[in-house]
Amino acid sequence: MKSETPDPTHLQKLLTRCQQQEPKALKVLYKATSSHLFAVLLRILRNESHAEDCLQQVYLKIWNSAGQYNPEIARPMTWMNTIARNQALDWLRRHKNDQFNDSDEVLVQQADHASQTDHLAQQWQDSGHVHRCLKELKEAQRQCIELAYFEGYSHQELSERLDQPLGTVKTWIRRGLERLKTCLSPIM
Amino acid sequence: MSEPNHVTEPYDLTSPEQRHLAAGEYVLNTLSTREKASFEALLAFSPDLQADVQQWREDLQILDTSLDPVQPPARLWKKIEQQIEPARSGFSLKFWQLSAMVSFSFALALATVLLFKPPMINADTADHLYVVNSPEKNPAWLVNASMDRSHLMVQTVKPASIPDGKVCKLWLKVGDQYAMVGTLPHSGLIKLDVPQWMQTQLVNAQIIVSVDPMNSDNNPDEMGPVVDKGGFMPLQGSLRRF
Repeated sequence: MKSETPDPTHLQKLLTRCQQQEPKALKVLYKATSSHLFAVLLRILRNESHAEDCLQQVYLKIWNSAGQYNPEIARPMTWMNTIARNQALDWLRRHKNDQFNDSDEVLVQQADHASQTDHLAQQWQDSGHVHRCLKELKEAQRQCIELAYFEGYSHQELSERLDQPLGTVKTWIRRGLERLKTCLSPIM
Repeated sequence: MSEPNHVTEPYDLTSPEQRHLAAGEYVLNTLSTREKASFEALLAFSPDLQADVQQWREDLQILDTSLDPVQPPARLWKKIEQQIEPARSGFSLKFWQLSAMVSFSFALALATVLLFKPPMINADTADHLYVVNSPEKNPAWLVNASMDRSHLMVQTVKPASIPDGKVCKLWLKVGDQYAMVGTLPHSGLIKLDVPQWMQTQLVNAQIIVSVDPMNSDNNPDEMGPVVDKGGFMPLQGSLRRF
């Protein structure tokens, strides 16, 4: 289930050509990476139409910011994933009030959440070493990290969402990060 | 689910261990406003911390790469393309206009040569021109109207490829009336007679090029696919004076 990451060297060359404003380079880059970034945006926004709008903005940002990409600092997919995630989380923050005004949508989203979390967990469990690392995490730790990463939850929001004391949520995240890091370090 | 030693204090950024975890939470974006401000102040001056943050980005990207790719709809790329290349959003029209300009310039240049080389097309005998374009929008034939309107001179430039057993028919249309004046040549220059009833209206006639079976009837109701059509363009008088 784990997706193949596009070749970093190839992506790096495409980003260099995007910096030189070569539209064909962005097209090739889009073909190579859009399905990955779209999956991230769908996971965060949970709405196809919003994810499409967001993806459009992401590639315009990549096009306009390609000159800022530094291969010595980040791999191309990491840089693009960061842009996509930030764009989606910004979008979520901007539309938070709208979402909470739409009670039906919120109810549907909350009802869907458990199954989506299970789905993500299943995806993780289907991928080799990630599965091993995830087994290192306790359920609460994984859930907190996932909610923070994909949905931009703050400590306070996690505390309210999970109905747990703030200190407990903070601890879950710290312990989860520690365990994840320890597990991932030998294989990254 | 509870853990011992619940965290209640903010990160102590003087501790390497806590700094490292704070970097992870900075990437997760779970630091409080105050913690984030302190962290970013340190981050600005610490290459080690910058590297730490980047490593966390790489590590946590495993969450992204664990997702199954989802192909976005094809229409999305077109929207992006239009925004990065606004000049190309009217590509077809501009391309066509450019093609027409190039065709006309080429035709003028060629017509000039032809006009200087009688008897192919005499400067005193041709004053209106139509360029038949190939499907690739390249000039394929030049159609010149004689000044006495009695005939057309058709010069082959680069004829379009035509399927076996087919020909390109040249039609003239005035009002509702059609006349099939001949087939376009594979090479060289040919003269096609214009029906007498059409001669006075010739320069206003619409030119139509169709692809039809060889030896087919010249019935406009049974005309094959139209591949090009348009009207004559007047050549400048200055050209004709020489």
